[in-house]
Amino acid sequence: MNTLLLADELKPIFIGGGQMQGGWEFVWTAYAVAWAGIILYSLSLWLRVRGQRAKEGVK
Amino acid sequence: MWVKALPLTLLAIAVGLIVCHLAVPKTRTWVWKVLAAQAVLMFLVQPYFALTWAPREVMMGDPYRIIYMHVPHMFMAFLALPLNVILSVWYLVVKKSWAVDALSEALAEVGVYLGGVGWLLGSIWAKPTWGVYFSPDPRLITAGIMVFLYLGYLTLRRLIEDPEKRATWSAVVSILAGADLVLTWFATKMFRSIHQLPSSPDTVDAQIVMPFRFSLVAFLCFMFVLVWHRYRLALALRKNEIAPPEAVGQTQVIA
Repeated sequence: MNTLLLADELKPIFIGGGQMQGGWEFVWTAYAVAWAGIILYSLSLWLRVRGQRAKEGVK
Repeated sequence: MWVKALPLTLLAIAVGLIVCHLAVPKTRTWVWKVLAAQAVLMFLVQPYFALTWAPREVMMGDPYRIIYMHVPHMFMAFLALPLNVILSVWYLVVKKSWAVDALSEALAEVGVYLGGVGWLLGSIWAKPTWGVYFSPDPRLITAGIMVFLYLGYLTLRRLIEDPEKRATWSAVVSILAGADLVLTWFATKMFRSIHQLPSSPDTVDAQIVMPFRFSLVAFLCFMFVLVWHRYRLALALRKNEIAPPEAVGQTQVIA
């Protein structure tokens, strides 16, 4: 009985029935990072293009 | 049937628009807007396919869904950075053109952004699957070196004031960095690596492949729009450097 309890405690978090269980927090984090990159880089480029156009007096 | 047809149709539309943009200069004022709209719409739909429609992977469960962001980022970096190397060779060997230099700069910056974020996403995926965020693995190391080499390339461009020297020296650095691109691409086959080998669509469920191809097309449209605007910006700055606007009239960034 004690051995079974110990084995249960030692079981890795994500392993269950041969397939990883859970892990959605990593998926959400990855999507947040990717979306932050998409938005921030696009914004940075847009601001630079707009700045350049303003400098040259292009409407 | 539509599972295969949808991403291929969207790819055909994107490639058609890109060819139209490159071949017919008159269309350059509006084609990028259509591609941008396609990218935005696909980015909005992509989470549905990737996070709910695609089934769980037989061993990795749900964390494998990071593949739909990680791999398109890296694939697009591997499209942009080798193109940068080709253009650098072109600049040094064939024609010393400011347009080629500006396009090289644009591809390097967009490639660094996509490669850097892709590398970060890979490390997030590594934690649930390998148990660590980073492992001293040949693919991870060469990919990291790739990002830092091209960051160095962009830094070098900022440091050199003379446009001709800048273009020549950065082209040389780009060609040298190209060796790391080859190593990174083949790292999983050349060395003992914990990183998985590329999968074949023949051995993967069609419902897993479709969102992947869908994501690739979305990122292709997105990357094209970024490169186009970054190129126009670099070209305008270059022309102003060579001949200031007050001397020859204004250089315009086409909106």
